[in-house]
Amino acid sequence: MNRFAFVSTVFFLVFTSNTSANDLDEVLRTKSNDPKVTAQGQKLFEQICASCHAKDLSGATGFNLKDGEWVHGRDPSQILKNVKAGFLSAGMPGFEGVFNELELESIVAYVLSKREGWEELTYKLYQLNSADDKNVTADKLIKSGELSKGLADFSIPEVQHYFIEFEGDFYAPRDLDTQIWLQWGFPHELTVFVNDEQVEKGGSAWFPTWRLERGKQHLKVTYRSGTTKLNQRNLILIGTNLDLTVKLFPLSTKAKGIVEEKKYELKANAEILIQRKRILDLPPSTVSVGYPAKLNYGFNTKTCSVVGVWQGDMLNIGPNIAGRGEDPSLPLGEWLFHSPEQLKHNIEDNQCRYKGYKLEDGNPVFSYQFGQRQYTLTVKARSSSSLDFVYQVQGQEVLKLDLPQVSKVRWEHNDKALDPQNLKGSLLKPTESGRVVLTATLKQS
Amino acid sequence: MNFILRKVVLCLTSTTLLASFYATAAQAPKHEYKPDGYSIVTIETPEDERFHVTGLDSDSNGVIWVATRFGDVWYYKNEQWFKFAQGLHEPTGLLVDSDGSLLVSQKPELTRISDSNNDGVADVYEIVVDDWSFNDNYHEFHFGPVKDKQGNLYGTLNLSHNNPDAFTMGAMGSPGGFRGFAYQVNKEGEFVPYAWGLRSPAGLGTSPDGEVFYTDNQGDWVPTSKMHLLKKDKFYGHPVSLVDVEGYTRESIKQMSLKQLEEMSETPVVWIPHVEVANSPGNPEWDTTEGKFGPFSGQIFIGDQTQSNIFRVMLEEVNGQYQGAVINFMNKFQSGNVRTEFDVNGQLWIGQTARGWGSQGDKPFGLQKVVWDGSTPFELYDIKLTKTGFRISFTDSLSAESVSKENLRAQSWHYHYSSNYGSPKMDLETLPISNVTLLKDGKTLDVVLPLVPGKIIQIDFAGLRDKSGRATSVDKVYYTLNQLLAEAQ
Repeated sequence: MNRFAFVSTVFFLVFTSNTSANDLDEVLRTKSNDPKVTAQGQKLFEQICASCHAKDLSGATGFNLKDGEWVHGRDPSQILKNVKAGFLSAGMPGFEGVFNELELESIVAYVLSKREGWEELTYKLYQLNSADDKNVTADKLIKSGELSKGLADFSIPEVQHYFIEFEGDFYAPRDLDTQIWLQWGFPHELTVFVNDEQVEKGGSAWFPTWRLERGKQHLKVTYRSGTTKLNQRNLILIGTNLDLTVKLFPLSTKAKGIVEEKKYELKANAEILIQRKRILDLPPSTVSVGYPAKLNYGFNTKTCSVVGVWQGDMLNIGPNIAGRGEDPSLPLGEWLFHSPEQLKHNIEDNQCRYKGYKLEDGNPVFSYQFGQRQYTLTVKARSSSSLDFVYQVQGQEVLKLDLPQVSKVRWEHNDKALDPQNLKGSLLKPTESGRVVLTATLKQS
Repeated sequence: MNFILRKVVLCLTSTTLLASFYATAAQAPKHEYKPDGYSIVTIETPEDERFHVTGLDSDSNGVIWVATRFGDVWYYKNEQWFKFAQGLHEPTGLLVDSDGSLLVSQKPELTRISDSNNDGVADVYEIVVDDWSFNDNYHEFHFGPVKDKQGNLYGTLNLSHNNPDAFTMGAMGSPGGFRGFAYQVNKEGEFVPYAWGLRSPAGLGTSPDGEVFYTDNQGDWVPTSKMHLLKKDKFYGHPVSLVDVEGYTRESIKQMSLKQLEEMSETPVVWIPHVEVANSPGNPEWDTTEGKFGPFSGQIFIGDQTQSNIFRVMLEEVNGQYQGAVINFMNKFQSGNVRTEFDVNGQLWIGQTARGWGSQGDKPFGLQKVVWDGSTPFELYDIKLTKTGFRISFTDSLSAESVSKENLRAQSWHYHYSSNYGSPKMDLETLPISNVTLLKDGKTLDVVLPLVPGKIIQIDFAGLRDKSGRATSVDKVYYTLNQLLAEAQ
């Protein structure tokens, strides 16, 4: 082959290869906006990928798949290629041949749809003349560049007075309203622009927030050092839900460790787990119990009622044991119901008096009283979709319960389904030994 | 424990005052201080466990029991760890009861934990009391319990922070439900709201005479950290818990003058100078080792979470009321010291955590102990009020040449009670020392200086030496002069 022919061939191969990769990138991006495709991808992801990359894609033994850091390439076609080929040396098998092309593409589409954070993030640093200098002009630009990890790095400046801006495409959750939260934010002159419009600062003086749009947007954040102390300028920017209870994703380098610290998953794999923690969507003073069958419930010691049941793994207690422990633990599975829906005694004018629990084969038996009447409740997991609530009553007292009105659950007593339209005040007759078994079965979707 | 909010959570209105405060703020001693003969031993904690020791007790067999902030209970026996209980809600106190069961203060509940089948693992978790409101606020810590001689139990309930439903008059608040209270569980098992006006009361202790004392952390309405004798139906200074006291409403509390509140407030037995000694003290622990821990028998040892140090408290009764002094003992511990406990062998165990509130020691958590090798240290032993000044004794004989007025310095100040976050030293002034006498025992000085009640008197004695030329490792003592001796008034 002569030199010209060789160069032409290489050029052609590279060009066509790039073209087809670009096409595929576009196809996958389009699919990531198609709920049908992402739903299929989610199902496969949760079956196959979640064991290493975590159900919420935040990473475990495998990498975090929703942040801005792509160790093996960020392009959708590259991600697809990596899913197909795997990285055996790192313990990830290839899935080409396991799934068909459309299935593999749906997995990638799902991963893309869950993207959070900046992409192609750049920064510009301007040196200012003094703490009062607010005149940011092109001649004061001293440094600029790209931040490959997708996190605003507020430790870049090595000058005393400065203005720094971070800018790039940004992905916020599509199914949740979120905001940027600046931790300990009071003295800082931070400004946020979404799609070139300045966002009004919300929250409170020490806890300022800026609303994000859902999904993809262009995000610019600027910061002027002003008179703030040198050791307080490495800002902590975190994406949160609107009531600040869940810290979702980091936007700055210093926030990364803080968000990562909020992950500590407890899973009932071999034995029953019992945890008293603050839990999102459950009232204070709740004891939660997780079964290896991947069903969990919460028993509230103030009301002696079951205030939640969820299916899946137990809890991420990280938010409640990191830092000062301000944030609630997060159930790892799907709710069947939670407070205010609850399974409770229908007893008028009687305060519950909780007495404690005793472990029987590792399973808690809760004891309590209403007035002089004594009760115990223990829960048994029949299967991954069915729980028995076993009450022990005194004598032959008919148990009157209010059951949660939830479409996902069928309630049975003595092998008879309870009327789903009439679950409040259900009367359940005990056996001769004073036992009442109420079975909750998850309906197949 | 530093369950306080420090400089980052300051109310905006007090920024100016605080700026001037920090400009004049005292510094913690930078050098390592440690009496001769004492050393720190680090205990290896279970691998891969977040071992923030916030509940600590020992039993008559010398077994060490700990509750961790993670929510587990472990015991340490023959240098091995055993997990006893788990799943608790951030416990910050543990007491081994006389029957061998454990009383653990988790945030929502005081719980009795026992092992009914004697397999070495807890299987019964019974409620003792939970009669307060717990609102899932991170600052709603529950400290204790301790037991008095009659068998009553006591615990304290921290105020909340950043709770939108809470009533606040500064940084910390109460939504009602006995936040900011000390409670008693009497022998009938009843919950008794016992005293109020507490802020971050992170440490409780019972004296050998069975009296209950507690410490509170500096912050709003607490000008510097302090220790109090706990008395029934008394008010301890932080106004928001008055919402649970009959006759008060949120509105009426806000109408109260500073003077009214101050006059209602109990006086601490000691003020603990901020930063110089402690920012966030833990439980007072009496040295009942009868000399196994050295010469400080009967004195009180308290850890500080921020400063990672241990300090001593020496009390005396003046006109029937306790008052006394604080003095640093040892520093450079690995993490934040929140719990102290003497075991039967005369070792001082230190439970540690630094999560959420930083500490001088850079480890996030741990367990250490202080041991004494039997040699005689040269340190200030005790200080007692006299009619004309103080009688100060040392643990070893003083060099008579070093005893002079010039080798002693004294100053005094008081604190300003308000909603501001801490107080600077007010009316700080140097006190003239008019005479110093070395008594016949060779270890004791009579120091004559002007005495004004209501002041903290700091005496510096860096120039003193013992007969072999040793200087003390700690050279400042802080006496809380609530009252003069009656005859001198």
